Amino acid sequence: MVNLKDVSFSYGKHKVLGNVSMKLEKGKIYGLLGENGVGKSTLLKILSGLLKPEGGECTVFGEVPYSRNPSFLQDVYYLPEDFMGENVVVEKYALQVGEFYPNFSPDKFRRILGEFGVDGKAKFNKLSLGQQKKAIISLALSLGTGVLLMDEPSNGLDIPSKALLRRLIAENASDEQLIIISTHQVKDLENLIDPIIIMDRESVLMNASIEEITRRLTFGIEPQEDRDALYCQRDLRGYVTVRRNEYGIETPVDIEALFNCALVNKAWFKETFN
Amino acid sequence: MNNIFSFERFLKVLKYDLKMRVPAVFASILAFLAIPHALHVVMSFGQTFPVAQRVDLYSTMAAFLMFFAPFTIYSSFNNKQGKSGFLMLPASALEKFTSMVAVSMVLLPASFIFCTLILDLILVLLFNDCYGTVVSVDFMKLLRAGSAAFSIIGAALLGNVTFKKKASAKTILCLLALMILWGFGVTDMIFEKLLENGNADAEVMQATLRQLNNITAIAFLAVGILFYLLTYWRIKKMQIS
Repeated sequence: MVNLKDVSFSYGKHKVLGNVSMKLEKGKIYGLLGENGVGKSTLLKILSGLLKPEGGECTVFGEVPYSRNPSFLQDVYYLPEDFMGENVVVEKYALQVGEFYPNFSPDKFRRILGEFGVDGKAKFNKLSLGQQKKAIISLALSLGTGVLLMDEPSNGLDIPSKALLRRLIAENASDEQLIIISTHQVKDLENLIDPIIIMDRESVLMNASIEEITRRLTFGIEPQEDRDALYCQRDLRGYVTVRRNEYGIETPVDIEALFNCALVNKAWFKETFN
Repeated sequence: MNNIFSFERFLKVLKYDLKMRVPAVFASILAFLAIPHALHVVMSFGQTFPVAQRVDLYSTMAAFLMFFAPFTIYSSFNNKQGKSGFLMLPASALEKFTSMVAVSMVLLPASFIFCTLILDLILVLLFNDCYGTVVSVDFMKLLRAGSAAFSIIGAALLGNVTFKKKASAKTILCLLALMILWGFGVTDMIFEKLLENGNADAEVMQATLRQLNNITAIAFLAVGILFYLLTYWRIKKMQIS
């Protein structure tokens, strides 16, 4: 469905992506994790056709995104990190935009908007930034596109809304849909994303399902520091420890620990998960 | 699916532009139209406002409107979100471009002319002593003005999709630079003709000026077409970092 082969991209002399390759399939909610500035947004923009890769091949449903063909655009929605609505009524805007998307459901939009507690009759520029974000997320989830690209959707949302966001995405995602959510706030997407892609500067450290991760790694809180573990960091509960799963034990994935572990064991992660 | 141009999709884009972008501008147009009349009422109430003066005034206002309206209607081009929203709208670059041209070059001027005539009629009915007769539309003049408007609107559309900030000011500066260059070229041509013919013969001068007018008209049209082609190319190839 989404195929990236040796995709590279630079902003002037500053290289952001270098030979990124991956295959993504429908029916999954991918979490795109990475520190600030590693190229998560750039990758989403390449996938949505807003940027042209410098090198390599990128196809979505067999189409080249940058061609921005209507047949491609009607099946892809890109939710930017910062959405600034204009002097337009939320519902009017959504219905107007929805006309371009064959699978758009106005009822779904109104329902999600209602769950978020946003007034559809209000104008975008009269809403707070968080409310605007909720409105545009409601639209994104109701368009029914085959690919939904969400750039830091939890940014600007309050804590209850982040939990609501996770639930609404999980409820409204279909088996025919591929969702990619980028974030640097890894806790926000816990129990939602599977598989997980961790990006490093210029490359992909890991692209693996939760099942694969639990097969290869164990996560736990331990009273003592273990210097042999892949990752061991003290917090209020004890030592958050990530180890190689040598005995086939299943433990729930701690995404934050996984992310930090990947950053300190880059070579091992690349070799093991790619 | 036809990915180059579908009339149905074009109508959707046009409807989107008319519903989402134009209403915010329309109120400003009406206010803009009312200002000179309000000033006339306040400053010279009771004095006549002859048709010829009003025609000059409306023409100047129309020129301002033609140039500045695209910047206002498509002001979302000045921010990343607006641009990405425009580019991600499921329609082809040609459909979006055509809608832009239709709004800026046909619908907006037509509504301006319509509103002007209606307003003028109302004012004539209300203040017949001052306003006298209603302004009428001279289609030949309108056609000539239309060819100039074609290039001006083209420049505005191109400036709007090219410059990120202060697009209208930068477009004006570029147009001035182009005009200065053109002026140098024209002066050079006149001098050459004069040198060729020794003295400034009135007949030679007239023929030169006629030739010059024709060349200017053709150049204006050619530059206008170039502006539109470049605007389309910018929309097609635009990237958002």
